[in-house]
Amino acid sequence: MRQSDDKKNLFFCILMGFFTFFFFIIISVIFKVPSLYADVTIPLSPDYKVPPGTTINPEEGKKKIDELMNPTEKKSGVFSDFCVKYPNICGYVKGLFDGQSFFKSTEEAGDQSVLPNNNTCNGYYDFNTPGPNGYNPLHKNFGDPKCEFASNIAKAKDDLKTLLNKLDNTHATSWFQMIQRESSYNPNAWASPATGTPDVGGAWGLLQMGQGSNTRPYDKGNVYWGNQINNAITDIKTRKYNTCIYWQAAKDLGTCFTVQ
Amino acid sequence: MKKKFIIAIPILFMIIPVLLFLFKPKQPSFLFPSAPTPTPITIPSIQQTPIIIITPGIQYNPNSEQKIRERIDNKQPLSQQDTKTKNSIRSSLQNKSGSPVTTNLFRVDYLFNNDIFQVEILTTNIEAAKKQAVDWFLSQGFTEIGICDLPVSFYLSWNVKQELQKSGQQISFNSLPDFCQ
Repeated sequence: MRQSDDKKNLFFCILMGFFTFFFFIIISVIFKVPSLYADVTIPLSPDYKVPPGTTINPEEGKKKIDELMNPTEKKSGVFSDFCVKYPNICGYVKGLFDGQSFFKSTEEAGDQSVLPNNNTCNGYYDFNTPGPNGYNPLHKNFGDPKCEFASNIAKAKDDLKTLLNKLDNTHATSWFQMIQRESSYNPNAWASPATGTPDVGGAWGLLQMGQGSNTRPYDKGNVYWGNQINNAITDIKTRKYNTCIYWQAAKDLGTCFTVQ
Repeated sequence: MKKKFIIAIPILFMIIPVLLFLFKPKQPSFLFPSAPTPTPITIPSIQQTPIIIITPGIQYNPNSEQKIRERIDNKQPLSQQDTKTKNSIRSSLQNKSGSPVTTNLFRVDYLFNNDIFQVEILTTNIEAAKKQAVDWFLSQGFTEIGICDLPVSFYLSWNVKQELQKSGQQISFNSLPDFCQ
């Protein structure tokens, strides 16, 4: 009789053990217990603005991010890069947290005015009517959320060229021509993957780039136009790529170059 | 006693996660809950292979592209008449960037800070658009040499490119007026 009770108790304990284990997993999943998740976000301050013309090297970037991080969220990690290229708008952080690499743009965290929105800019853009090439799957205005190109394309192109002069003066005109070829200066240009784009999500923006990835964060065209440019130049620079490896337009134009 | 102890342990294991949840340190409120989740993107992409964006159906003249580049980077001196005409257009735009003319076929853009003239072609009838645009420049007082030296360059709008791509037409496109050497 006593032996039978012990067996029952043992069975009960094992059962409860399993139940507890699964209960804990369910609770963790539902309430996202942080220790189980590696996708750590960086709480950049919403009013954080990069001073115009600032260039932050990785060391200063690390310091800046440390300042911005909420102390309760501070974790051990290495910031491998932080660059700021465009006044008030663009900045990227990437690094490692808990062994998980990440990247994040300050634009996504800090400046809502450059986030994708639903603004068609008085009908200048159409994100819902399927055209010959379809429409971007976000159905959003990602490239020109402030309607700068839509409201005065000449001024926007002038600003674009000025930005290129600033970021890569040596090749600014070549970039300008490549953009003309790739997107006809349409920051919301999107090409379906059916056209043979390398990214499964299609080709995005002025330079028809991808959506970004962990290993290639700057191959990212589905963002504000200023950031598209910064991404393109940074991507070529950091990967030490020749433009002709990336863009057929560069080949066609005879503008094969690397960016130092 | 032992039996009670054995039952109590699993119950404790059940209660601990609940207590951990209830009394866990408060998370900083993230800034824009509606903003795209800033998690690492794990979309697969082709990493090392050469990436080619193809614009099928349109053959460009590489010599024209090089000339445009050279003339933008090294401005050619204009004749008195061409300089006067350019200044007149700049004045009409109140010394700002703008589009002095837009028709159904084309739109002329002047980029003030970089001193660039561009014509966007808005129709698949490319030759007609180019001709009308050149006629407009001539009517303003530019000479043919001046138009080439500015330089005035043409490009196809995104929609026109898409339409040409869809139609499968093969076209040859010169970004400069045909009379430019």
